[in-house]
Amino acid sequence: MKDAPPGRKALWRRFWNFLASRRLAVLLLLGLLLLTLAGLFIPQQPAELDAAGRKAWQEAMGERYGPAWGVYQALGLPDLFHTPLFWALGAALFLNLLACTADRLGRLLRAMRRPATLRLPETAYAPAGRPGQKFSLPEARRHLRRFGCRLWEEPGRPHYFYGETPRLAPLGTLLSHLGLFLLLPGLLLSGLAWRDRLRLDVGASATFLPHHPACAVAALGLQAGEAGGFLRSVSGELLISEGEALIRGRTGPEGPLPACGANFYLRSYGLALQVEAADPRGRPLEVVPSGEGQALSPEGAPSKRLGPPPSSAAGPVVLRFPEGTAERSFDIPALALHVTVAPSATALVGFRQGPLQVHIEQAGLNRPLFDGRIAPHTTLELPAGRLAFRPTSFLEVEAVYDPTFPFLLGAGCCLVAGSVLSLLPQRSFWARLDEDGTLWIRLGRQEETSGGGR
Amino acid sequence: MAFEDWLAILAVLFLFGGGGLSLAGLLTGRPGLGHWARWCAGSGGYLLLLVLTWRGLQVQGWPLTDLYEVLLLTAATTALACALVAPRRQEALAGACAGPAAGLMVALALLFLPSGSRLPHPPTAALGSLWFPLHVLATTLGYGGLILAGSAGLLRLLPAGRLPISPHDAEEVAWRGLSWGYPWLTLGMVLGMVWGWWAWGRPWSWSTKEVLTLLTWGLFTLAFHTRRLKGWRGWPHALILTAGLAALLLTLLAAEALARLAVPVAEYVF
Repeated sequence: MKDAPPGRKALWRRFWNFLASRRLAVLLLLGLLLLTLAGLFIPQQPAELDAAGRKAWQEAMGERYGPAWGVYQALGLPDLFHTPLFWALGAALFLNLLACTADRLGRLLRAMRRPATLRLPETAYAPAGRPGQKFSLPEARRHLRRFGCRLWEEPGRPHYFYGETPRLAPLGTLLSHLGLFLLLPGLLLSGLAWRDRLRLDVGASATFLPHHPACAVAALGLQAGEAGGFLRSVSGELLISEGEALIRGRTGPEGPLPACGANFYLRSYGLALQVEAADPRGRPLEVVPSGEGQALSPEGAPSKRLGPPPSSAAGPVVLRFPEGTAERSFDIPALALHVTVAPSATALVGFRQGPLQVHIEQAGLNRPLFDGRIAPHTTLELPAGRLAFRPTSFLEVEAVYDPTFPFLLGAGCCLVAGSVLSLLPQRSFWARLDEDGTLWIRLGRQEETSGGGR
Repeated sequence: MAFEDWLAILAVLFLFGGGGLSLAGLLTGRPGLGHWARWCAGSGGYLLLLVLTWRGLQVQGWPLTDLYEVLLLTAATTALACALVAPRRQEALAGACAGPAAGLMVALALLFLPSGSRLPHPPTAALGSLWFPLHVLATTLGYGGLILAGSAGLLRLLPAGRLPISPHDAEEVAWRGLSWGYPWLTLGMVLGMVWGWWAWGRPWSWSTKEVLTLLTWGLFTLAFHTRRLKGWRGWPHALILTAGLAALLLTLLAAEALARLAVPVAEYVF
């Protein structure tokens, strides 16, 4: 910029001052906050839905909001936090932060090494100590150190002092800004992250991870702890194999199980009821569950179907009861039976094997063939065959590889440390020791210890 | 009525008493009353901590699992922020901000939350991680300071002459509240992120509660930057503090209702 014409230099200076100004930061932050506020009142598309789930969610919202939904969609509002406007404001704030930090870096580091001024005009000071008290230089230092400040001195006649605490306060702003900068590599690395969700029946064979085919996972059990009628703890036991290595461990709300370079989280769990039908000679019969995979997740979006397709061949089938499912039904075509099973509430949350309410209807009969409670692990003897129930559990496990978390954590720690340093009460003073031993002091106000900014 | 409910009612009386004494001190110009107001509000806060300890002992777990307990803790931290961080010169003004705000919070919780939902119960399995109580504790400590700051901002907005309050005093109390509450809220958000990562692998999921918390944090960050910025000092700064208070109260009281209105993004499992 040395050779630039004065007009261009002034223009660049004005632009830089604008880019590095706190006023611009305030305006950009305000814009981002207004968009965030709008995002609160306009439904935001859940991030984890697959294509079918997104379609179903959009149809549901279209029914709910009518023609207004079309306008929202045209403006990109259902995904507000990923709109170009939101990202543009975020990028501008980032640039502003960068310029702001670069602009102040030298000044802040200098302020840490040495204050801007050790001398104030003569009239700014007031007498220190008792009236008429005289101080030698060591006595003056001892007296001033009682403030608990870091002391700078300018020797001479008179001798000048400056004290300030906390000494690392100028680092506060830098640390806070560093925290925000750390979000950028986190954001860039987020493209490498992957998640695989698996639904595993306890005791069933292992399932391979789609993103890590060398890794297979099997559920060994579900442990739920109860105290006073409340579910106090829950964890799933997994067996994970990666090549030759076998890892056995627990996952639950208290922490994931690390394996295969990812973390395995317990997302959900529930009752899985194995049902087996047979004719009077013991030959297995086909069981056709109704509504498999139709359960809705809590936010109203269809849950992704992850289990095996419903069996149509003869043999046992597993009926799963995900959260929000109170009963399931199935048909036995060979016996013209329609069966509905409702487990007890405690069995549904997984910590007690309660009774099962079973209702069986046969085509052509105008009264139920069976309607009553049975204990788990019961085999019902029916006129045309038998029906066996074996309750167990299923786990919904999510394998997550996310390299962004260390950056997010680092950013958070920097923000906390930066805000603590910036907001710690600051104290400062200027003092002067005259040749005759008179000590003068001026206590600083906050406005005098840090700049107001532009 | 349970023993702890009586304790909570006593706390409400202390908190409103503290607020009343503060107002009396401001109106009569007797600063001595401010000292008693601080003592009164602080006692209310300690009583609420006693209620929470009692509930924790009953369920043998952290008493930070439902809205009632979070409201009690937030009221306690507001009263304690007033007692701990308010400058001695402005203790009557701080009491006038914190006492009624904290008292109102507990009174509303006692009056409007169904008695069944106020019964102590242990944390569910999903809240079993140690990160969860740490997150709630840090966030409510932040809320305490920020409610003090926001209330002082609100008083600063009152037309001159309505109350004998100097704008400088209101700004000083707001700054103290902000200095105390902002780092705690930031820490609370970081701990919440760690809890989310530890429990289900999602440090941030853009749920209604998270977006509201981000909005609250952003507004107080804005207040932090506008305090001494030319053109933004004075009432614009106070307006931002008041908006921050409104966002904080929305986060605390209306996040669930808003989530139902706007369809929640978060998945609540277990």
